[in-house]
Amino acid sequence: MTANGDVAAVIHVVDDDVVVLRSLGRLLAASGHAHESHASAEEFLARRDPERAGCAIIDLCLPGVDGLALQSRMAESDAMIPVIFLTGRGDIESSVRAMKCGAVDFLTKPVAASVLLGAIERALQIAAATRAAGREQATFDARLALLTPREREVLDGVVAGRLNKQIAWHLGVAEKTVKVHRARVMQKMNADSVADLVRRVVTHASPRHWT
Amino acid sequence: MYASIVRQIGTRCRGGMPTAVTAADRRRAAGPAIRVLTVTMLVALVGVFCSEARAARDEQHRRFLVLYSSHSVLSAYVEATEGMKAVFDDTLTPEYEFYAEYRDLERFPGPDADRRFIEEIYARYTDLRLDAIIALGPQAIAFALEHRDGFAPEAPVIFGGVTSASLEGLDLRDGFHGVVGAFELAGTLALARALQPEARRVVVLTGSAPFDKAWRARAEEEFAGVEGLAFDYVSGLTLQGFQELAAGLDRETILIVLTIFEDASGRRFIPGNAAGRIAERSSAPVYGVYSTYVGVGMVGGVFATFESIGIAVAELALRVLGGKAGASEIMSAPATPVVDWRQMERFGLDVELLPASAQLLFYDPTAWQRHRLEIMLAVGFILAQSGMIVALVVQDRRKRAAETEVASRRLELAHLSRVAQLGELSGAVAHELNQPLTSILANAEAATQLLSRRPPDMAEIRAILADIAEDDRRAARIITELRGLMTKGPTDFETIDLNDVVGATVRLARSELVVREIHVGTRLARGELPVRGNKAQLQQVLLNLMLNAADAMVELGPEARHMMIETRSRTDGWCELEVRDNGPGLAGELRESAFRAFSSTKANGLGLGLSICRTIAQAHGGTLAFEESGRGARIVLALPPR
Repeated sequence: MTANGDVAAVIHVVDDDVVVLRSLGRLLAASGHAHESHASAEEFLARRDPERAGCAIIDLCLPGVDGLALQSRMAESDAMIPVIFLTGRGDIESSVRAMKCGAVDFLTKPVAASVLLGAIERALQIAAATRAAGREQATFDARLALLTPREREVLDGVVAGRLNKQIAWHLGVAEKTVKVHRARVMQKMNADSVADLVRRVVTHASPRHWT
Repeated sequence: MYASIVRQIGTRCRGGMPTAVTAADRRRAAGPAIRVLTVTMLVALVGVFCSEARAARDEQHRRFLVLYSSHSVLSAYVEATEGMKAVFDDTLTPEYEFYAEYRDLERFPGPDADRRFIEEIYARYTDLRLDAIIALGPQAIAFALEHRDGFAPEAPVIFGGVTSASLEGLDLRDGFHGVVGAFELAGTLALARALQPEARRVVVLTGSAPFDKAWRARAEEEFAGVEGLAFDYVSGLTLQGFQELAAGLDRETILIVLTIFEDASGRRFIPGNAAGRIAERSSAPVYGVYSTYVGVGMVGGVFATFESIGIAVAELALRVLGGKAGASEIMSAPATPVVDWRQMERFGLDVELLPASAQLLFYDPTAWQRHRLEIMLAVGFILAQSGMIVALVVQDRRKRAAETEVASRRLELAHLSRVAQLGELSGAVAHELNQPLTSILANAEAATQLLSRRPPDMAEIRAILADIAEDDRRAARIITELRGLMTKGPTDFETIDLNDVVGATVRLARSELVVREIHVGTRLARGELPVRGNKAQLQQVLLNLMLNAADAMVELGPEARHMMIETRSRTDGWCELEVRDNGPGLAGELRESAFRAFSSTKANGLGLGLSICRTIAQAHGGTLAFEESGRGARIVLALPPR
């Protein structure tokens, strides 16, 4: 268990070559990483725990769903974890594609332990950051859900930079009523100041919140 | 041309029979057999129409009786009769009568037989008015002298076929005329000089008997005035001495053997035998004046032949009948050069140098002389044929060289195409090699970390080392296979397992096909599928077929990209390797044209792949062809039983 209550990050290794799986697994174990081996992309998708933190080391050249396809599937499923690609072919075309799709790193086989472990470290940091960001977002979403429709309208006005009397006029209510709503919004959203409130909304709100 | 006559006559005289040939034969086309027949028939006809002929007789109608000493088939008489007939045929018109009688005391000896003959002659000819009696040979002459007055007292007698020696003791009275044989020393020398124009020396051999000495004296006298030749007269030697002398002479010398009745040792000889024994040892051509020497080794000489005697007798008879002869005219027989063709050949004497009147005996022309035209045609034909054969052989050699050249070029092309294909597969090859390398490196580093622990997990480290060793072997295997594919050089054929070929090739291409998102299925025959072939080449074929199949499915969605590789053995012992794909397939006409070089449906293809594959299949004695399939393309490589 980590400090923020997560299970230790797991490193998924996806390669259709059992020998490679076994050796990489040993290396990861010797380096103190928890790891899971998967012989194909399908197996990986079926077996992994999306809730658990970690990253994936994926061979580009996989039968069936290949590495790049696996990456896009994860992106689609909203259960993205950082991906490190390994390739024995080392062609430029696939590395460019992989990086564009957001791969953490693109390493050529055979890979030195230091290089691989460095890449894993970066991937795990990204994973941690992503998870932190995810948690913040979840809090924001939960708090936002507590607001009444009138309070949401007031929040929109505050974020838009309007004065209380402008909001009151716009909503057709008294300025005093707006002040009450605004205090409730600040409280519900756990904001220290108006600036803090606006930052949170701009960071976490997505258009879908406002439709 | 003389040669042409010789040839013509030669073809008439087969079987090596001694046959006389003269220039006179030019005028007569019929062979001797026909001539004999003609004479016989004529005689018969004359007998049958005797009475009529007598009634129709006029001044010009001559009637001859020819008396022969011996029998009718003696060639000497046949020839003499020919000579007479030739003269009479030319001179007497419109016809003449010719009666022939043969005394033949040799075969019918005794007084009784001769008496019957005499009676017969009297009975036949007493009433027949004969114009002349011709007697040939001593017995006939004797008969004429004794009985002519009895049955034909007025008929003159003309004789021939005798030498002056035979006439000794005979009472040659008026009304008896004759042709007597003579010895032609000068003529013989002239013949020798004609045949040996380069000769400067003449050796004359004579024996020790008085007769021999007389010959020597006569020769010395006759040759006294001859210029341009040195004469050596040799006598007083034994026969062996003569032989040794003759053997020591050179080819440019003329050797004349006269008579040797007796040699220095007192041994007596028949001259013809002695002459023959000298001639057989002689290094110089031998000549003589006796016709009996012909055929025993003498080149020739000048003698009277029976034909020439016949001619002379007939001419004398005509002169006698025409009243132009004396009371008793005795003349010598005209002599003719006579040569033995075999001896001419022996001494390399040129037939062309013979006088036109010469008679060639024992003429046996060579096949070349007989069939020159045919031989020339045959030789020409054979030469043409040989030329043709040589030309064909050369052409064949060139063709083979060209084929070898083509084969080696194809091999080179196949190799280059294989290398190019591997280039295309370099990514896949690198992947296959990098897998074990990755594993080795990761294992090694894991082991390093494990070793730093206290206590290190030795069991795990051992497992790691075993894996490293295994991975190393795997990498080495891949490199060996690659080397096999890359290596150029003689393509050794060996017994290989077709399933093994499929396994190795699929392994090699696996990562490439994974990248192309192609699912490869294999359905291999159970057990081994042994074929005779070259593994690298067969792998090349399969690789080519697999990449073609992969290319054919590029337009399909990844799920539909299925390729199936199958091996099987047919009931006839052949092995088949099949590659199927799900692509668009090939239309009927493309199935064959796809194998032509530089025919490609691919934008970046050279179009050599299938052409080379088929060449390889054919080099294995097999076939490679597209076959009917429901969907996609189906190509089958068939290899003959091992």
